[in-house]
Amino acid sequence: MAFNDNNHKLALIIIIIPLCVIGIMLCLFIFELKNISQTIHTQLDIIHHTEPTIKLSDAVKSPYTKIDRQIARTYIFLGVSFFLINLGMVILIILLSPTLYRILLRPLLHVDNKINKLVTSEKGLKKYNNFSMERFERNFNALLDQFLIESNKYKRLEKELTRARQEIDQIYSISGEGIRIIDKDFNIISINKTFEDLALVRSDECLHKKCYEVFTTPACDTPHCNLKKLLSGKVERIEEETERIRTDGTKAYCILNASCIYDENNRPIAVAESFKDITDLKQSQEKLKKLYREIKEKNKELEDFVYITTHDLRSPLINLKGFTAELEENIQELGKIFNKIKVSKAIREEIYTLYWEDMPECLHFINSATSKMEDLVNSLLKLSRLKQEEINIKELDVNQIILNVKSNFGTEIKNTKTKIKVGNLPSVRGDENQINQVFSNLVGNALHYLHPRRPGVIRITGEQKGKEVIFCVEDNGIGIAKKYQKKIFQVFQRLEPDICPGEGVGLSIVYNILEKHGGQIWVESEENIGSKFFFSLPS
Amino acid sequence: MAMENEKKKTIVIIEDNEGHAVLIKRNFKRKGIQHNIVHIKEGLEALDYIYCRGKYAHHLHEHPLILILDLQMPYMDGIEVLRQIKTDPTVNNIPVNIFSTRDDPHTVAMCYSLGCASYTIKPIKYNDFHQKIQELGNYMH
Repeated sequence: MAFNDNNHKLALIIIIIPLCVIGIMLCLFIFELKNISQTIHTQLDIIHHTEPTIKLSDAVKSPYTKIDRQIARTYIFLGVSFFLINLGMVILIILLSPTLYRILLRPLLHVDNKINKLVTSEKGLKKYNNFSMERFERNFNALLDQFLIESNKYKRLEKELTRARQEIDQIYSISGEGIRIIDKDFNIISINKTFEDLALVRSDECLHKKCYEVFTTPACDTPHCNLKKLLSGKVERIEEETERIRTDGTKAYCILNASCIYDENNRPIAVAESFKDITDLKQSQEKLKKLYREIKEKNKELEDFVYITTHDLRSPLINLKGFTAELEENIQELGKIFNKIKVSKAIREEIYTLYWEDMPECLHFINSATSKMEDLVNSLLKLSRLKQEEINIKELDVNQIILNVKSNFGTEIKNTKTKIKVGNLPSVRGDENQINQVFSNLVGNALHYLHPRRPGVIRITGEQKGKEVIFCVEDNGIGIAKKYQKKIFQVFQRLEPDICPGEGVGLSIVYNILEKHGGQIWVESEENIGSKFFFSLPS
Repeated sequence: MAMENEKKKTIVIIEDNEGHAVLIKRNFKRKGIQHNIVHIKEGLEALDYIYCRGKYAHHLHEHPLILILDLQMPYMDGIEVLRQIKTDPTVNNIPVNIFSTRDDPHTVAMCYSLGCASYTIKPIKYNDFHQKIQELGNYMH
């Protein structure tokens, strides 16, 4: 190892300082010795002058002279020994420099290297072999600077951490969801206020209890336990609806969100559970479901009632119709018999009026009334049967359906000279018979309610809109006044009973069919201009 | 038209609606059917008649029976009457013709599966009613 100049100087400084101290002490000591000798001389002189009577014998004088000499010798001795010690020391220092360096500066060099490593982020850093005070100072200062920067950074982080912790605490306490933290041994280690209210427990009652003792569910302590799944790593997160038992035994319905809390090695150490109370919602939902079921049952009952009643109405109708027909026949027979009987002219005329005018008139009204009733019963039956009918959904070619409808109304179209314009219609999903019925009823209505003063034009269009198709049957007929537009889909509502025959169930049937298919119908119409019937069907 | 005694039959109209029974009888007469016609208003009584029990205990069936059965009746409905007849081997050879206003396919199918000889839906229009009775009459000659 080369011996560096700087190191030499340093070593010399380290050694010379104590040497100087020793030298100064020696000088002080010699000086003090000289003072003592002078004091002795002075005292002797005083004695000699004040008491001249006292004669100092040579025997007494000579020891002083001897002392002087001895002091002088001591000076020389001390001077020489000082010189020799210094010389020896210098030689010793020169000889011991490497050792001293090792003892004193090596550790510093190590420290310097370490500091250098800390302050310099370069990789493959060159290692110093020699110690340099300036470099040491520079590095040490750099280290200090870095330390200060880091320290500030830590202070800032600590502040942020405290704030974050406060935020979390705040959120935890004001959260609308009941939160509890459970350690990996299933002990409850923390709950928030909302959890207390939700499970009806106090924090001090449930801390360190097992999770399956508080706010439990039947899945607790079984292989279906959520915590087991989470802690074993089978699932990362749980989100489910759960039914829990509160401390007072009542049930609470919640949406549970749960996930693990991990340590720095990514090992699960706890589970956080968050419960959103949906008990009220659930209860309302149950009530709604019950109501819906009841309404559905009532509706079914009503439909059945209508069906059965309508059906039962047929029986008396058969009697009415049957016996009216029998009566007609009997009258005919009776008439023949009367013709054979000879009676006066006056009686004959009376009988004639009764038989051939009054009675047939009565029978005519009975017949037309029963026919009307029969039509009503049949229409009602049609409607209620429609509600009871199962539908067979399949892909339908609407263009083909329109061709059928047009051919069914062939005579009427021809007689009224109506033009039917059909666009290219998209296909839909539905029951073939029922969709056919929808178009038939709408086209039929359009034909029945044509405007008397202009040739009829019926336009049928359809376009895809999202997941459904909107069809439109448009006519230039008499139109529907605004105030009646809402009523037309109700059963037995007829706007112009004199214009065409019918029972007023056609649009009701259409409405019911579309409702069954998940579609809708609406109308845009203006009196004396025409109507547009729009309806939607799933494509 | 005289009918040989051995070819004569007894038509049992089981029908709670008297009017309907009368209309059926009149139409049979008009058709010239000379079988005995018996009208019974109720299912239980009909079974008593068939089995010659109860108030018919002293009755003897002189001729083979043909049943014209309505479905909707009080106490015991037509379907139950049909079921009892068709599950008893001693009487299940009696032809049972259903004549009812009920027209739902489910009921029709059930009656056929129970073993009715025919199922006729009562029409409201009298001409059709007349027609149907004529058809039933043809089958009974």
